[in-house]
Amino acid sequence: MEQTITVTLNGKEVTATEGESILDIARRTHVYIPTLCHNDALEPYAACRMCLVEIEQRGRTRLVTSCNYYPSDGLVITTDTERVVSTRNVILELLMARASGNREVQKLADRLGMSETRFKKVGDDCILCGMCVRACSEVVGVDAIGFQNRGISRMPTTPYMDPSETCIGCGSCVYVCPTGYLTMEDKDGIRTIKNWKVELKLVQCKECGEYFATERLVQFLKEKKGLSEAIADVCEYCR
Amino acid sequence: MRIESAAKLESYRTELLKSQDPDRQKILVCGGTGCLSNGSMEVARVFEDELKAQNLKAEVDVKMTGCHGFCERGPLVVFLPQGVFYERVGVKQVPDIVKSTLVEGGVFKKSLYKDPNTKEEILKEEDIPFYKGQLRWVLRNNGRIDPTNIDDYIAVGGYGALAKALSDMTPAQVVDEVDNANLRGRGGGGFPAGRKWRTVIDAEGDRKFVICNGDEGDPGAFMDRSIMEGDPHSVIEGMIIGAYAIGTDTGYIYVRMEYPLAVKNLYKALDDARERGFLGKNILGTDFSFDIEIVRGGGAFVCGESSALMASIMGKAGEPRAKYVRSAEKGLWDLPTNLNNVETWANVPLVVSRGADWFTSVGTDGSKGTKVFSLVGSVKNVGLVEVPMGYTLRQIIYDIGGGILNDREFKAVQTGGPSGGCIPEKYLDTKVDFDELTKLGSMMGSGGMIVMDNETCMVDVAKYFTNFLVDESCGKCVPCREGLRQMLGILERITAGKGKEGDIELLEDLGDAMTWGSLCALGGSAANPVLSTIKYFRDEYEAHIKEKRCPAGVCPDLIEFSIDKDACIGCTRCAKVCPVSAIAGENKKPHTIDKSKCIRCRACYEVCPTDAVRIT
Repeated sequence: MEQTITVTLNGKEVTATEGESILDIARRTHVYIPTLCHNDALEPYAACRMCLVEIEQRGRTRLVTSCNYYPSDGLVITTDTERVVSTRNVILELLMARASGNREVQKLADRLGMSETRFKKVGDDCILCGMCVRACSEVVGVDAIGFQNRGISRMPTTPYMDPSETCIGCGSCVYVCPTGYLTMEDKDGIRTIKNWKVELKLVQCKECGEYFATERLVQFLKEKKGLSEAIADVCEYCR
Repeated sequence: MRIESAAKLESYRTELLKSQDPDRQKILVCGGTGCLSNGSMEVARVFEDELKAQNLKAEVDVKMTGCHGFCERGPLVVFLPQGVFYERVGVKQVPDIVKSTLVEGGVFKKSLYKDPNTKEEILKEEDIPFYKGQLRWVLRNNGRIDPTNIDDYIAVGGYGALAKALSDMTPAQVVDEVDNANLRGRGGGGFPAGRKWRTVIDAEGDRKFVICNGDEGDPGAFMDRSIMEGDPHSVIEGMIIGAYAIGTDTGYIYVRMEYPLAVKNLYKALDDARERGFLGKNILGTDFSFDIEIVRGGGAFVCGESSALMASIMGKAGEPRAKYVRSAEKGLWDLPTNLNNVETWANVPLVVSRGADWFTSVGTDGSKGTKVFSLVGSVKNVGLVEVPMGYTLRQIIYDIGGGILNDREFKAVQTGGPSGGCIPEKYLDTKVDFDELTKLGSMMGSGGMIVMDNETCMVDVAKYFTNFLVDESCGKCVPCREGLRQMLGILERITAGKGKEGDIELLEDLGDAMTWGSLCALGGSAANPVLSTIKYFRDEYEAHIKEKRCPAGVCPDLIEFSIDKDACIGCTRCAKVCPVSAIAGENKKPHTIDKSKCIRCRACYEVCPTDAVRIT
């Protein structure tokens, strides 16, 4: 049976189930916590550090990321202490410097009332939220991409930056990317994902004849996911 | 030959001791990495040749030992039983040393250690100030035994603690002993080992693991390397005892790839321990089985962080994991895993054989036993030192270290590796232990200690460590990755004379955010060099920013070189050493520096015999 616990969130007592993250509890109770690397379809990643909150335990306070902190009964959580806000603001400033033109970062800056960054602008597009890599691994199960290098040279890419041999061209990475850093184009029966250096042949729907998926994806759905031809060979509108 | 019981180990040891004549002439040549790179292998070979030539071969043993610690003076050679200590022994000195010491029964004075302060020659190791103040518990066998010979280790009591644990103690009693000894993790965190062991014991899991963290990556630190190289069995014995206490059959030693000798000696030690029956099935004839595998790190500093290290062992990229769960509960493959560092494991046999009461007789209230430091930088005696917890910084730097090099003034000491802090002179009488260093905004870390003199620019120091960390951050979380890059940029600006009003405050804000917001301990402590230098040397930052001046005369963009006409003797050495021909002048007449050509490399400053080169 699921254990019910009570936590204090911004001064209010809230009931939650054990194993529920602070972020989930907050969202359920309409308390806003900003995130940049969180996606409900993916495991918590805790890399953007935007979702920091302050917790109090045995008289000691510390900052934790709410996306992957699962409180136990009686935990006191505050989402907007001075330390949370000042730390979060500096982290956002760092992201504004890295990816100044990024729409997600800008949206967050607007919402949190940050207009300028004090740091030198770098002009990278990718914010390294890791959603593409995680979606490919956790949801699709293909692991075609990963991170290369460390520190500021870190980037999502294919093994050895070679054209991916395992990418099935499903496009999950592109759909999940919050920044527009990843691009995908379907043209003349070919799907191109420049970031992974792949050009994959598209197949036509057996019913309507529209190009709808890559050859590799259809094969993957049949062989690895056990989908019947009746489903795998037709587009989502004709199924 | 397998040793099947504790009693048989004891009789084997007695046999070994019987076959060894304590008065037999021995020449111990240091085989630590420092001495090896200074040619100690060749020195040992030439000793053998010389002994043959002098017909002394049959009466004398030449032994390569682990690191003696006084690396700066290597290659080091000790004659036993006389106890004579020779330093900087080159191939050339060997015949004289053999002749004086063995043929004539005296000493070869030229190779003795001379006290730089009293100019006195000192005969024996224990009388040299560098060794005198030390308490060598963990380094007990370093420089004494051949690390590649398990019988050497057994003869000095090795594996006796294991035998005691297996035959006289229950696993719970072993944990109690470690707990009562308050053995705290020497890797930096200072977490009580006994408490961690208990967590692993209480945690649920089909299998459990023990790990030895030998991924020592701090610049200028070589404590763990010396132990792994010089006394690998002490680490292995500690791990076997820990495995018995915790109840596991599998252990890993994670060693840096950059430590080839440590890897080699550990492999040899593991093979020998298996052959003797200390590892493998039914250790010492008991039901307990355990073995150790070596995993070599790929060269990432962050893999010293425990969760990144475990990821690396599992074959994943070495990145810290973002989970608020202790690896003692869910570590390797989500199973309970106990990780301690090299020095902590090497302490375990001592705790078990001598007991908690003995162990706690040394140290401070909160930190017991000894700590090994690598004492480097602007200090006269550079090397590996082991002192009781609670020794003051002043005792370590002045009594053991012999004071500041070139008799300059002390400025700061950086403890705890790249993420440690810089401690100024007013805290020199601080007792060194886990808690006191943390109070000063630094940390024990794994035991790096870098001494800096008054010709050190603290902004430049902060920049150096930040630069190291920029390269070593794994890049997963924003505050560490982006914060370090921006921090370095600001420091580069300040040291180039382009600092702005508000830069110090910005560095402080940034440092706080990195400290509070980072994912792992690397990022959480990465701002320490900057924050601690701002805290204690704020005026130096201000001088760089407001006056565009580097008070220590270090930052090239903020200094000028000139030659004092009255002091210059016209020796031409500066002109010869100048890489850009910026110095002109006739022989025996004052020289001048063309400031437009000068690249401020300091070569003239270093070479001038009369200190006529001035930095302003």
